[in-house]
Amino acid sequence: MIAMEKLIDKRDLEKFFNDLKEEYEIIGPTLKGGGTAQYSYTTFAPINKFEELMLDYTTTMVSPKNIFFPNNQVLYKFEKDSDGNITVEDVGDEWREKRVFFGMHPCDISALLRIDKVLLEEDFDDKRYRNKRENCIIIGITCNEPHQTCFCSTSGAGPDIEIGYDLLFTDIGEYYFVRAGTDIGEKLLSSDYFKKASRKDKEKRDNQIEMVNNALPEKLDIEKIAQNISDCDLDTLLSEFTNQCFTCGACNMVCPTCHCFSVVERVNPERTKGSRNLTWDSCHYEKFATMAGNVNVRPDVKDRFRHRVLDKFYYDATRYGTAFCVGCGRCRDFCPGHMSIRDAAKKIQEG
Amino acid sequence: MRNTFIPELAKIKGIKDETSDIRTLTISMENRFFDAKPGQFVEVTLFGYGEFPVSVASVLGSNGSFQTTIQEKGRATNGVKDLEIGSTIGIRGPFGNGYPLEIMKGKDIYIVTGGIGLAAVWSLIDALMKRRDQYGKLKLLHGARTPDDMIYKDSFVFNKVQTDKRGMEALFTVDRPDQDWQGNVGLVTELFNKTEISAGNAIVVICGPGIMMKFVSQELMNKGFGVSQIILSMERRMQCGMGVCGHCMIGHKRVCLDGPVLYYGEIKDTVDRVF
Repeated sequence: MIAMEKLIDKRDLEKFFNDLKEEYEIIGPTLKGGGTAQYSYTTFAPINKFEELMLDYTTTMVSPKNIFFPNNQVLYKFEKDSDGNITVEDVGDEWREKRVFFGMHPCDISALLRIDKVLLEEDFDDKRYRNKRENCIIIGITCNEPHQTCFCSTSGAGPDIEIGYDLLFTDIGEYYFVRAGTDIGEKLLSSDYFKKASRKDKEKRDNQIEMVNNALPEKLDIEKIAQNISDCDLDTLLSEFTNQCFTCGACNMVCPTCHCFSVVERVNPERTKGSRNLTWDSCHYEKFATMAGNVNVRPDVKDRFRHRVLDKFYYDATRYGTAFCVGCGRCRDFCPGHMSIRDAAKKIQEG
Repeated sequence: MRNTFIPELAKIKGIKDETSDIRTLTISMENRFFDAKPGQFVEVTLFGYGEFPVSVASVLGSNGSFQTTIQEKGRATNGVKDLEIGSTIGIRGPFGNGYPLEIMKGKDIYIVTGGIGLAAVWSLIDALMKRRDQYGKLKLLHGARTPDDMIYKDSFVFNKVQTDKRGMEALFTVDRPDQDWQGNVGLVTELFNKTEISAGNAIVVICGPGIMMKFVSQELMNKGFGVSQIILSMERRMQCGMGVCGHCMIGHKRVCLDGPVLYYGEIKDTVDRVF
């Protein structure tokens, strides 16, 4: 099937937004998520007015994973009565209507497809995640220029993607070039402000993508990395990085594909009433690989940093058939030690 | 769709003190008949304390309940001492692969365990006994810190008449003997000198503390065992049991899905620490 491709005048975008808003809740990159005194970051949050939508953003601090797979989810509540009988209550928010994610970058869309492989597996089907995934309409937008830490082309997560979206926008000047990826996307293109795209418009799109592609750093060779992992002395190779690691876990929190979690008990002092909660966990935390009797199989910082690099480029790649780093650059941006997973992987590649 | 994190309710039918900090619970599911393959594990929820993974020691087929042996090791497992007969707990599972019984057929089976590791192979011993004629020699080599730390003391494996009758040899050792101890003293690897162990047509199953599993595997390799003749029942802190939470990874293997029973060869060469 040839994808339906159309144009929309940037001046008509507000109309499209308002038409969408009539029918759906819209979630998109917006500044209202906060930031610090020096920085203001866009974040994915519900958007009420068109002006709040910041399509020209670099990368959000936290990825939309935050919405699909939130931190601190209550998995269930329980209560014990005076006779010791237990009642268990399934809780959790459920989306009954579809919501539109307007303005996701290709790397974040690719990251969702990777999390799908984990959370919608045969052995494990996260019903909350599934509910949200089945009730989202994804309108992606390709980047105008890469951020300085981006390297999405390495794992095919950008700058252009073929799947994972209902619509994919590309800024080509006065217009957005829009490609439909699903039937839902095609239906959205039926409004009259979507115009026919010419071959020339298509060329403009291709040029725009090509420009971003050229501005990205050189692709890493993931096969070579996998090969070197068993042949090289990783601890020596990675030592310059591990010395900088504070084990704060920021990289895991901002990573769009990190999915490790802990299940914790929140309970009243009498232990009669409480809940079990899923909280994001970090493989950099000292307790992450600790088991009964305080035995820790990754006791050193170097063990844990190595684990994260290998997990992204080798372990999950072996298991799910694709590298789990989408090259969004967030972990580098928010690392207080300025460690770059790309540099670490490159180091392994070079041997 | 089911919320896979919600445990099924179960009742405590029996509590037996094995040692000062190890108890065996008999558990019966409220709404179903429990079954598990030898070597699988369950996630036990003690409401108000937490959830922990523990191997199924035996499935009591006749009434659909099962037994599991738990050592007090942390916040959640310490809750076991507050349980009474009739207490309600939660169970998820069974999870994991179990022992490769088909592959073990026709072979000599050596089982080497340490401490509470005996609980993780108990269901295997059970299965081997049920089809005793299908396997070759059967030897159990078990070590504990002191005689008081031995679990399952009143079971048949401690009774020479019974083990002889069932075609099994059982050897025991302790690190620190007491006045009444008449058996071996020393590490479990020293039991290799007390009985004939030959790699020929054998499979060894190991379960115990990490350091013990490490030395036993190395000793076996020195004796000429191949990496596919050594089977390990691994411990990790499996929080979900379904291959997602990431806590039980050894290299790219997930102990909860690909294990807990793994061939030594599967994990020997990972850059991750195995034991």
